[in-house]
Amino acid sequence: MLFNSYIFIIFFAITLLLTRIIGNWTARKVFLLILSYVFYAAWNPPFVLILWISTIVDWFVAKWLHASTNRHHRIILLICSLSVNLGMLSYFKYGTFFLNNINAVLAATGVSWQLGVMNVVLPVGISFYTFQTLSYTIDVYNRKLRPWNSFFDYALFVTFFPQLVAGPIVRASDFLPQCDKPRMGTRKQIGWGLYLFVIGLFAKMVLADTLSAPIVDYVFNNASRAGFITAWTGILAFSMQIFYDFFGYSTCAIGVALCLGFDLPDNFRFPYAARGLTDFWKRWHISLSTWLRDYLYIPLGGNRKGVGRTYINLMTTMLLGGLWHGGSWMFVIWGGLHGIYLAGERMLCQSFVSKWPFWGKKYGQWFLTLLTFFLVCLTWVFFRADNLVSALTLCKSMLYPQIALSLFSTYFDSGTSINASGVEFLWLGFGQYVVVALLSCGSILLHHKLRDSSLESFFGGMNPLVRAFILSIMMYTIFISMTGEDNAFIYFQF
Amino acid sequence: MPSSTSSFNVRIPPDIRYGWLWFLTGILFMLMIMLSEGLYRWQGHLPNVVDSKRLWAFHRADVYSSAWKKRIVIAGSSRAQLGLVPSVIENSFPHHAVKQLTISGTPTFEVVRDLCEDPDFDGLIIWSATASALYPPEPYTNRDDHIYVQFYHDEFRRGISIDKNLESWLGAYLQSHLVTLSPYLTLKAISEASYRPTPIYISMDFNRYQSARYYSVMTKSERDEHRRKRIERRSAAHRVLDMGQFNESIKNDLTPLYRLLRSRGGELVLLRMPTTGEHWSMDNNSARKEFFWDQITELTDIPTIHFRDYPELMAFDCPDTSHLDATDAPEFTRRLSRILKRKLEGEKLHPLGR
Repeated sequence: MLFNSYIFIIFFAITLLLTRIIGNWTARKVFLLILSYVFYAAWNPPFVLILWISTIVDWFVAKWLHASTNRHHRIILLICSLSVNLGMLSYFKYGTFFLNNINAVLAATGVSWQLGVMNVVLPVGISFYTFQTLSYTIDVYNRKLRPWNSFFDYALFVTFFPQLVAGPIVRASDFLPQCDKPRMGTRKQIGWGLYLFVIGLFAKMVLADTLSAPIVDYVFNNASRAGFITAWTGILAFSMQIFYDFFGYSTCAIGVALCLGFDLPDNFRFPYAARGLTDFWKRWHISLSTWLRDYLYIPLGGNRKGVGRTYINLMTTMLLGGLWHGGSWMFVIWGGLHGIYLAGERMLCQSFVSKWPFWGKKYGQWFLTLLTFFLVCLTWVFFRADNLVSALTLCKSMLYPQIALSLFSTYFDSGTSINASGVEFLWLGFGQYVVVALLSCGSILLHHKLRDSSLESFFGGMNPLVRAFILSIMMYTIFISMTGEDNAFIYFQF
Repeated sequence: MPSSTSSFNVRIPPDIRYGWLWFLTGILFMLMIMLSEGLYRWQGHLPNVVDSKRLWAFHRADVYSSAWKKRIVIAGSSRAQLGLVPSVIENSFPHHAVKQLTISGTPTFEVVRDLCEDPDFDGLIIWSATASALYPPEPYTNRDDHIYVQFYHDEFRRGISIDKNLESWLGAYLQSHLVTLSPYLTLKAISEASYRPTPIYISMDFNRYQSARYYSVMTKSERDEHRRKRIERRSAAHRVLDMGQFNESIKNDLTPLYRLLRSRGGELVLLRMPTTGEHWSMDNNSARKEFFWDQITELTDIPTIHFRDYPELMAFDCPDTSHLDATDAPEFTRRLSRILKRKLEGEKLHPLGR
């Protein structure tokens, strides 16, 4: 079920109403659990079984882990949990990827025999709930958490519908304690939760789907013909689309949960105001980056095992973080680029460069912000492009302005946009260039302004009439963006 | 670092009076909707439903007779979708509900086959078809009918993506009432058009009937251009049908299906909707009426209605040579219903006529 659908609005209204009618806290939690399964089953009922397997396995493994004092026994239990969860994830998400790569290797080595192709439907949200259940088991294994005493609470933690299919990836230690005492959205929580829901929908449906997506699709589908300006317009549009799409989902999820009286963790903190890549990862998909830090980077040794090992750990974490997004080498390259950036930044931070007074100045900070945004944009090319050739073509167009200059001179001299080789350059409508420029500049400025602030203080400080006017404009534009088409959130596929 | 989006760790803006905020927002939002509804309707826009295989599947699922209502199903392509008005047929046949299962650009042989083979269907099918559509496969069209039928059985009936199906139904229902939700007036459509959106000549109702306003929305030059393109497309698709293949198909494919349907008390009527001018000439050149359509009654006992056999159906002009205008469709449907009633009654073919 999509947040940006009429059905969800009805579903949510009924949920909100009934949770207020049901007085008993346990009954209310069970009701929320059942509704969460309905929410998931609405997509494809049989896949609820996979959710159940993951829930039940980790519930019992955590119990036994806690009860056992035998180290080998505990390791075997942990391996069981990892095998079941990562096994299912690998089968559904990476099966085809592995087979294709094995077939490619076989073909490259001259073997004519090929493995059969898998035809597997990817269960929505499997990467998210797998990471949630794993975090619970690993925390119990590390004795950081005691197994929870109520199975229904635990099942609700795994299945809670606002964050089930695309995060934020919630930790058991954040969510389960909230199940202890009766919760019901207060008037203020519902008021602000609904406001967040509208902001999230506006970001997704208006800024991502309507203003950015058509330009992104057009440019990436014609990457070979894009010149300097068009290539940059396409990638700026994608940097806006991916942010507003995922920020939109997270904000909706947080808002919906808040209406029900639950707090979910942040997933974004104005990432395009980041000054450096380390700062970027503290602001982008926070629930994933902290998960990778706590359950992968630190267990690998983090920065405690020497300089060389630190860089290896960093690269491993980012490569696997890239692969988490899907079975494609393009995601691995995306993760690898971020790994290289982080390693490079780490080196620079430890050198004399970091002591330059320039970085403390206002223009120095702007320089860092824009440089970070530029570097992140380059990685988005690989994240979005269908293949390496298309990504490299776009990068070439983005990094060689002389192509643009020659294109411009050709265009203005002859009134045509065909280059010397007879290839017609890709042009967007003038309005589309303006839209992307305004959206990108506006977003960077807004992120910069709110860098150390919050949406709460931004909207809280507004004139009440202006606030209501902005809210109604957002609602109206959302309303007229309902196309009746399937516009799923990008992160549903991950 | 403070949060940007959530209440996590603290925070709900403390100084907002939420009751007042949402009340004011509600009023402003309603005003905006009313303003845009008024403006668009004044400009000549009509509510318009997005057609989809999900909406089609909802109508397909509702073809089964109940104790209160029997079913009449319209199959065929855009000619029937634009030319046959379900509410008019329902007025002519009380205690019957009409379901539009037409698919634009497709002769829907697979839809008819699916209904005939469905053991629970016992209604009347009005199948609008040309001679070339009466046997599978028809080489010169992109047939989508099997995709619709497959979707209905493989996904819709199994409850897969039930949320999307309900969304499609609910979205269509709202679109049928609010002009602002027309697919041609969405934010995306407006931003892509980058100018003031002009009314579209065609619009679809919730029951999948499409009204085409050739005369009231199109200018004469637009109509001429439209007509020229229609003829061009028809010419490009022109081919002469093979009579042997036609006869074989009627006997071997269609007749067994018809008998199966009749054995359950259902009925099928073949209908040839009007085409005019050059379009009719080309149609008749590729499959001469007397050698093809008129042979159907010789080859099988399926009742047929050809517009050329009924002067009251010939009296309509198709502005684009192939489809009826919205002002003519109700009257055409009324006349057709009378003919249909007479035919079923005279031949004692279906409970409708008894």
